[in-house]
Amino acid sequence: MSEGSRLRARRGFGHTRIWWLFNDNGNCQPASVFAALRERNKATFDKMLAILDYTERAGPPPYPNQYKPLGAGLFEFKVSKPAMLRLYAEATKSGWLIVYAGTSKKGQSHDIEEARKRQREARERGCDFE
Amino acid sequence: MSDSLDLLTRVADEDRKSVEYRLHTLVLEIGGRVHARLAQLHINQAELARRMQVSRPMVTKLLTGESNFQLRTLLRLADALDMELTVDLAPEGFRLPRFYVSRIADSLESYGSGTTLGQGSAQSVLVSHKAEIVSASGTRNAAEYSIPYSAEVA
Repeated sequence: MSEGSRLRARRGFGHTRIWWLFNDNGNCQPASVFAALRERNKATFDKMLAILDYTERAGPPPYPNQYKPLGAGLFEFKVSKPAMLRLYAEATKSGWLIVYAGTSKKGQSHDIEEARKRQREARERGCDFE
Repeated sequence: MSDSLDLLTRVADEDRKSVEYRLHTLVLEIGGRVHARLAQLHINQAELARRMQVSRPMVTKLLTGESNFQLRTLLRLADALDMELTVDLAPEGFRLPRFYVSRIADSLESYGSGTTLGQGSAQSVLVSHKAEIVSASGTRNAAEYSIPYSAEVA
């Protein structure tokens, strides 16, 4: 697929309003990170799954340390214990579009920068919600 | 072609049975109700701490989603917010719909969904539920339960 063509987003986990962004190679970085975390730290994985299910059902989590608007339409969903996982999502008309995931405790600013890059790319190239 | 998202989706139902998942789901549900109630009553953390007779840091911990919510704490929280605490154990796969009488709206509403079942000043309401019991094998057996609710409307 050539650069400049539209990107792809797919749903998972039985959700209807949460989408995952794929790159040109058919990889989904946030889903890959989430899958790796499932092997490494199941408790953190389960907490984030609960947050995603709650968000699908009732909207963003009520706890400020688990959900934070970052400006310009980007939002952070976070679990910090027992391990760190941050999912970055853009609020779109079709629902939440998860664009990036990070697991480093110290790499928050780098993760936000990466998330903004992917958010920008999805906006500029357009995204097909399949 | 199968990818990480497909794989995770396939095992999600199994993951949702874990204690950690169900615990955090409860914490989120309780947090949602508490935050909504705090906003409704215009209560800040300091006032909540005063009403619960606990320290401010304790309240902060409760409102960050990192607490397991001991029953004692939940009771204090419910009292502080003029709410009722309901804790129940039901057979696996069985969920009884809950109803409450909203004194503010003077109406009988289903708890959570917000569906209004009746309006007015009836002194008691008899509600009949059809419930489903799902066995471990996934077989559904319909059973009818008639449950009288005394709805005292102020």
